[in-house]
Order: sequence, then C-alpha cells, then structure tokens
Amino acid sequence: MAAEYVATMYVLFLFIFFPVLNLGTCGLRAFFLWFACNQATMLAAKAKTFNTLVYVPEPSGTPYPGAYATARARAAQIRSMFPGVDWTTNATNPEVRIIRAVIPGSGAPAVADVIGPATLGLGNIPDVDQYVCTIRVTINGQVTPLIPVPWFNIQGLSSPMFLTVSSEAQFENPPGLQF
Amino acid sequence: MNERRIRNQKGAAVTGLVIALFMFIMLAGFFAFDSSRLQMAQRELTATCDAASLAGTAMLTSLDIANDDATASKLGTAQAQACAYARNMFQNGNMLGRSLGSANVVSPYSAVSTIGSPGDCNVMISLADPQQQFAGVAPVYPDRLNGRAIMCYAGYTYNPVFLGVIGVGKVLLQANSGGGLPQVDAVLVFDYSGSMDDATSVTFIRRTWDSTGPAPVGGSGSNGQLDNSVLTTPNAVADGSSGALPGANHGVVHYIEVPPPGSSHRLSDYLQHDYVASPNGVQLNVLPPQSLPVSDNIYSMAANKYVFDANLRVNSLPYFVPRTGAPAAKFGKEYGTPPGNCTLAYPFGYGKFYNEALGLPMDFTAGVNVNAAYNPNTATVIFLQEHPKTAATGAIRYPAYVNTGADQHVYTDLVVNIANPGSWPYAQPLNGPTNFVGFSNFQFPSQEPDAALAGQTFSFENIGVLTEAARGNLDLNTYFNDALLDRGSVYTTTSPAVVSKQNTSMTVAHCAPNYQKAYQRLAMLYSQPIATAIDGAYGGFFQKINTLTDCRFGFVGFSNSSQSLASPSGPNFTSQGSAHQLSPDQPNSFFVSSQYSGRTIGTRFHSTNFPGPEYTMAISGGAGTGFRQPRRALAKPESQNTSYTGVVGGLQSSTLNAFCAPWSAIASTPAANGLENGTPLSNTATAEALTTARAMFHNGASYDIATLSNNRPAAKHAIVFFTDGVPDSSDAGPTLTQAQGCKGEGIAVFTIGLDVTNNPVLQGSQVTFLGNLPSGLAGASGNGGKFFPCASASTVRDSFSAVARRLTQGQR
Repeated sequence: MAAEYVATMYVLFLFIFFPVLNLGTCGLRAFFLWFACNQATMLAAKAKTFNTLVYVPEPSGTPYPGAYATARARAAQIRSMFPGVDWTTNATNPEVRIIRAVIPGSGAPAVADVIGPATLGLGNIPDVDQYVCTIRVTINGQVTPLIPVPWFNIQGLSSPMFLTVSSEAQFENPPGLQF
Repeated sequence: MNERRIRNQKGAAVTGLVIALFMFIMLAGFFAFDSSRLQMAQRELTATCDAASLAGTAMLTSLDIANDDATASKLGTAQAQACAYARNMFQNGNMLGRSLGSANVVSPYSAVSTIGSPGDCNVMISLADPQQQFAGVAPVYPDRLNGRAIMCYAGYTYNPVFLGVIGVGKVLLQANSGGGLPQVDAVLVFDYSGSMDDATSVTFIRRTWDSTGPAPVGGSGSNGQLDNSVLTTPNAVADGSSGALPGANHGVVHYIEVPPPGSSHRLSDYLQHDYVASPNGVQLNVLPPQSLPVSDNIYSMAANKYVFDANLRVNSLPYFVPRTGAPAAKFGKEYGTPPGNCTLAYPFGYGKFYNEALGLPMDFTAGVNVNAAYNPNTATVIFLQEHPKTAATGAIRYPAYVNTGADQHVYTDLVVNIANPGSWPYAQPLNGPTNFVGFSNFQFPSQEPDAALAGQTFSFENIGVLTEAARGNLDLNTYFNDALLDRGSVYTTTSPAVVSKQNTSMTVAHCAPNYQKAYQRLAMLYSQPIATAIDGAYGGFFQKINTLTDCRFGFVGFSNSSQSLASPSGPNFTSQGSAHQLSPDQPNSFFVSSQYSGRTIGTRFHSTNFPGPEYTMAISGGAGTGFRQPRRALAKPESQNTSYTGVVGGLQSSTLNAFCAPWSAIASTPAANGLENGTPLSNTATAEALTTARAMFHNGASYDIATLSNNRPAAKHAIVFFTDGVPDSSDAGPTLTQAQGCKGEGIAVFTIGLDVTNNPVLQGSQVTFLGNLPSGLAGASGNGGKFFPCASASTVRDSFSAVARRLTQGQR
C-alpha cells in the first residue's frame, strides 16, 4: 500500500498537482498580461494627444503625456504589480497602433495603420464621419509558471509561455492623433 | 487475511487521488470565481465613478452661472447641484446586481476607505482643481473658483463567496474618477447686420415748435420773446414792436408721436419692412449712431414712408451756414437747440420760417434766408433741396403739429420704448412696451457695471422726457434752457388713443448728470434681438467656457465692413469700419453720432458733408472708418484672462469704457474689440467673416493649428457662428467652402440661427445654410459641429449654452 501511495503521490504531484499549478499560474498571469494591455488601452484612449506631452492648463497644469506614453507607462505599472509577467520593452513593444477603420458606406478609402511613436502628423486630422479611430495596444510578453522545471521545455508547464495580447478602444479625441 | 486486507485497500489511493484532485479543482474554481467576481466588482465600481463624475461635470456646464455676483454664489449653487447630480448618478448605479442607492455619502476622503459590512459602499463627491493635479477644493469663496471638476471617490466592501473558507476576509475595493479640464479654443462669429435691432419696440417722434400754445411758463429765459409766426407783416423785424399780434406770446416744444401703420411698434413693423426682398433687415439703427434718413427706403412698404426731417431736427443748418459768427456755436449740434421751426427771434431761432396764419414764408431779417431755421420749400430755397421731403399740400409746409396724411410720418427722433428692466442681473429678453409707458424713479441696481449709473435714479414719465433724455438735453441745465424747454412743453400720443397736448411737466429740476447715458443704457437693454444675443453669448457661452475650461477666444463681428468690401476674401483680423449706409441719393442727410462722451458736443450731429468721427476717424486698433465692427484675433500666447476680457471686457465694470456711447462703438481701449462694441448695420457678409474666423487658426505666432509650438493640441477647436439672417446671395457658396475646409482641420463649426420675425422663408433658408447636412455649415465642417435653430429670442442663451456644453463635457 505504501508503495501504492508513493506511486499515487508521485502521480498526483508530478503529473497533476504541479502541472495544474503551473498551468493555472500561467493562466492567471496571462490574464494579468491581458489586463495590463487592456488597462493601457483604456487609459490611452482617453488621452488628449497621441505622442505629445501637453499641460492643461499651460504651462504648468496637469500633464497629459499622450496615448503612446500613457499606454506604455500604464502597462509597465501593472507589470510591476504582478510577478511572472514580463516583456521586452522596446519602441514597438508594447505596440501602440492607430487604426482608422472605414465606416461602411462612407466611401472612404482604406488607410494604413500608424504605429507609435509615429503620429498621424500635423494636418492629418481623421474625418470622423468616414473613419472610426481606435487605439490598439499589443504586447508580446511572457508569463512564467510558478515552479520552473529545468528538465524539459513545455511552454506554460515547465518554461515561460510566450503570448501576444491586444486590446482596442475608440480614441476619444481624434484630432489629437496628429500630435 | 493480510492479502485480503491489502486487496481491500487497493484503489484507496486512487480514491484519495480523485478526492484530492476534486478538492484541488474545486479550490481552483472557487479562486477563479471569486477573483473574477472581484475583478467585475472593481470594474463596475470604476465605471460607476466614471459615470458619476462625468455626469456631474456635464451638469456643471449646463447650469446658469452668468452674471455671477462678487462671491460667485451662482457658481457655488451650480457646483452644489452638480455634486448632487453626480451623487445621484452614483447611487443609481449597480454593483454585482445590487443597487448602490444606499451608498453612504461620506467625508473626508479617509472615510471612503473604511471597511464596513459586506456590500457597504462609501462615496465622496468633491470639487477638484484640474490645474493643481486635481487637488480637492473647498466649496467656499474664493476657493470654489478653482473647482472646475467633479471628483468621485468610492470604496466598496467586497465579501468573497468562497475564499473566506481559506481565510480571505472582506476586501476593500476603491475607485475614483474626475471630470477633466477641457481645453477650448473658439472663435465666435457674431452677426451685426441691420436686422439685429429690428425687433426693438420704438416710437417715432416729431419734435416740433408749436405756435399754437400753450403760453410759455412765466419766468423762463425766453418768456416774453414773441413767436414770430404771429407776425402780421412779412419780413417784419421780429422784435414784437411792429406787425405782431398784440399779446401773442406763444410757442413751446411739442412732441408728437408718429403712429405706426399697425398696432405693433417694432422697428420693422413701423417701416413695414419687406423681409422677402431684403432679408438682412432694416438698416436704420435704434441707437446712435443712427442714419435716420434710411428709414425712407425702397424696402419699406408703408403707404407713406417714414421721413426724417433734418431741418426740423435742429435749429440750424450746419452744412451750409458758415461756421463763423455768433450763431456758429449753435451749428452742428443738437444739444440745446429748439426745433428747426422755432420762430423765436435770434438767439433762440434763426431766419426764415413759415407763417401758417398768413400762408406765407417770412424772414426774421429780410434777405437773410441762408440762415433759415426751417423751411421745407424745396422750390424756392435751393439749399434745402438735398433733403427730399414729401409735402401733402403745396410746396411750402409748416408741419408743426400736423398729423395727417403723408406729413404724419415726418419725424425727427427715433427713441426706444424703454421700461424698468428689474433687478440685477437683467433678464433678457427685455421687450419694451408696444406703446411707451412712462415710469418714474427707476434706480439702477448697485451691480450695474457702469459706475456712473449704479445706484442712480431716473424718471421717464412721457415721450417728451424720453426724447430729451435721448438727445442729452436733460444732462445740463444750459442744454435744457437753450432748447427752450424752460418755456414748458407738451406731448401728443396717437396710440393707442389720441391724447393731445399733455403737459410734459418737464422743468429744469428734471436735469441730472448722465440722463442721456441712462436712456442709452436702458435702450441698449431693450434693443432686440441684439441685446438678447449679446446676453446669450456672454452668459451662455463666454462666461461658461471661461469658468469651466482652459480656453482662448477669438471674435469676429461682421456685417459688411468697408474692409470686407475692399478685401472680400479676407481675412481681416482687426476691428473694421462700416459705411453708415447713407445712399448717394441722400448726400447731405444727417446721421446722429454716438460720439459725445469726452468729445466736443458740437460734433454730435452730422451731415455727410461735415462728416462726424464715425465717418472719418480711423477705427482705433482696427482698419477703415465708419461704424465699428469689432474683431479680436485668437492668440495662444496671451493668458486666458486677457483673452476673455478682450472679448467681453466692455461688459464688465473693471474695463468698462463709455457705456454711454451705445455699444461702445467708438471706444479706443483694448476692450473695444469685443462683443458689445458692434453696431447693427448693413448686410450679412458671411464669407469674409468665416474666412477670417478660420484664418485665426492659421495665424502664425498668434495661433497656428499647423504647428505644434503655436497650437494647443489638446484643445477643441471650434467656430461658433451666430446670425439672425442668411448670407448675401454671393456669399453662400464661399462660406460653405470655408466650412468644408474646416473639416480637414479639426475645426467644428457650431451654428446658431435666430429668427425673431417668425419668417418661415428665413427659417428654411437658415436650415439649408447653417444646417447639419453636408450642404450646411455645421454639417460640412464635421468634427461634431451642429446647428441650433432659435425661433425666438428667449432661446438664444440656451443655444449658446448648448454649444458650450458640447465643448466642455465628456472629457476625463
């Protein structure tokens, strides 16, 4: 019986408990990764500009750093709150993208997305009667299992799982996308 | 036995394994359930805070804070109501399917984070200063002036459903949200076309010398001077010693109301203006500067045109008599002059007059008819041919008190039917009575912006007092006496019933400083629809935007300025001069200048041959000459306060200048380029106006939306276009082109179309021109632009408020 219990415990912990624990942890951390992305998007969508710091009122009022910086800062803030969630930060990760989706029936031509830190540029004010302007934040990140297992490499089970999460929200001040 | 025991125990490990697995999965499920529910609760709490703060801020922008008192009590009331609205909005929210109606309203902030019983919610609504990182603001003066945002803080005690089993107790969820401080950069395009005072209740008055008595008041300065109309010998010396009727000591000033064609006393109804042929309205102004001769125009459908008689208006002929000699001081002014047909001898009257009793023209001194005081004999006195005059009977008339036929429409004065406007702040629209009703002892409220009037008391008992107040003859005793008013005066009203020769009871005791100013101030308040439009723009738009946002303003007053005529494509950023609309067939007609404050009074009354300052003086701080159409460029570098007072400063006591000059038309201070400085005049040249407004967003270092450094990128860019008409026919297309250009520049065009004439043709035209379709200015501009029609003056402020609301709300 003892041998059976040992075997049972071995199976229980090695093949069920720890894997499920690791997978569950990865699942939870994946949620945190998405949460960081989602919160970054929500906040970025409320920004006044895309990548220009403005003060309201000028010159020393409340700072509003723009959607690009806001999204990345918010995502980084949430990342710091949860261990095991990480990504390599560079200019396009997290990626903050301006999407102008054509409103059906408007007859407007499709236009390419703009990826931050680039802006639409001065004078390129989107026509809100023809396009829906949204901000999409995409993070190529990784979530690590609770207990790393060095002997074999299965993402999410024994080694970090690489994920791409994204979230999208309508930008509230479309003219600000040119800055 | 042992084997059996062992056999019996076989599978127990598996059972344990299954149970353990079940427990593990169950725990994982409980954790997932509770954590998801926790997350949902957090999101609901945040969303409820968002909704509450946005609703509160939106409500703050919706409430009336115009003409606030010194302690900003209206703002305080609005803030309190907005906070209450936010609180109600919060308590109408739900958390995890349960109403938040019982949420505890707490203070201070630390109370929000108190953990209570499961499901308890604490909420605090407060004012915040967006300029100071949303720091809390006490709802007291002067702190409340910075409370431009409504903050909502909430704490919710969440009780996990399952995690309590493993010791996880109550969890406090917290959220907060605040309405942000919007940035608004807006240019108001404001219509000063002739129709902007067409709905004013007015009275046309013929101020004339009445030789039929009553006898002058004893003791007056001219008592004993004969009225020369009682001379029996033509060209007799008017000294009473020869050829005069014995004992005839007649003649007083008589004010005769010139009746309107119908029952309405609106300016446009008086003249029966043809709005179909001339939708821009009546060119005649109810307040100085008045081009009185334009009442007789081709668009007036009155059976007998209303004809201004310049010769009767003043007892002098300033444009022909050399300005030399003893009488010169009398020429060119209307202060202290009796009517033109006054037949007293020099120095009270001059030259030729018409003796009605004899039916003959007579001179005071033979052969000196160039000094004729009054003689409408266009056939024999060539000097007077320039002013056409309809004469009912014969070439020579003496319309002293004749009130029949064509002559009944001869007038000398146009006054506004003012009334007691009530307490401060005056509630527009103020419509004067159809028939002027005298009132006494009106005391201007202490809050009146014009310090010269605040607290002062004036009486306007009848049309005689009203007329002399408007002329300024009640300001000084010398004016009063020189106008021979000390002899007494009478008035006759014709509507609603004829009341003939009532004593005005005016004595020199009536005189008081600033009487004319008092009349003009009240007349401004009763000039419609411009007074209501200015009040609406001021209280509904400028004050609100200034109080609740970080803003800069530009301003474009327009009608048909001389500059816009010279440069119709614009832009013209500075105040413009407008011609006074005296047409070439009226080359020597008079206009009444607004300019008397601080000026030589001799220049008060002008002909186009001796043009007054409005006609010749360059517009101070602007371009061209003529009547002022104020403009002020949008400028990023200047402070919000400078921008604000530059546009509305003329309405504020701190920067008030010469309110007595109606609409401060000729003021030369920086505050002269604002809302109240325009004169209703001329046409509706919309293309140049909108071109200028749009160009203010492309104005180099002042403001340029095409550059980052000269722009305010977070600001909403808007043009608010107000008109009570439709554009000149050639203007519609170019104006629409400008609006279409705004679309690609992120500039919203909000349009407000006012029609106080209940003219369906005009309303239809406004919907087309200003409307929300791509063919209308609001629709063509996109970017959230919208058209607001106003069918009555009472909705003007609401429309301006609606525009302000759209520009201020919805930001976090």
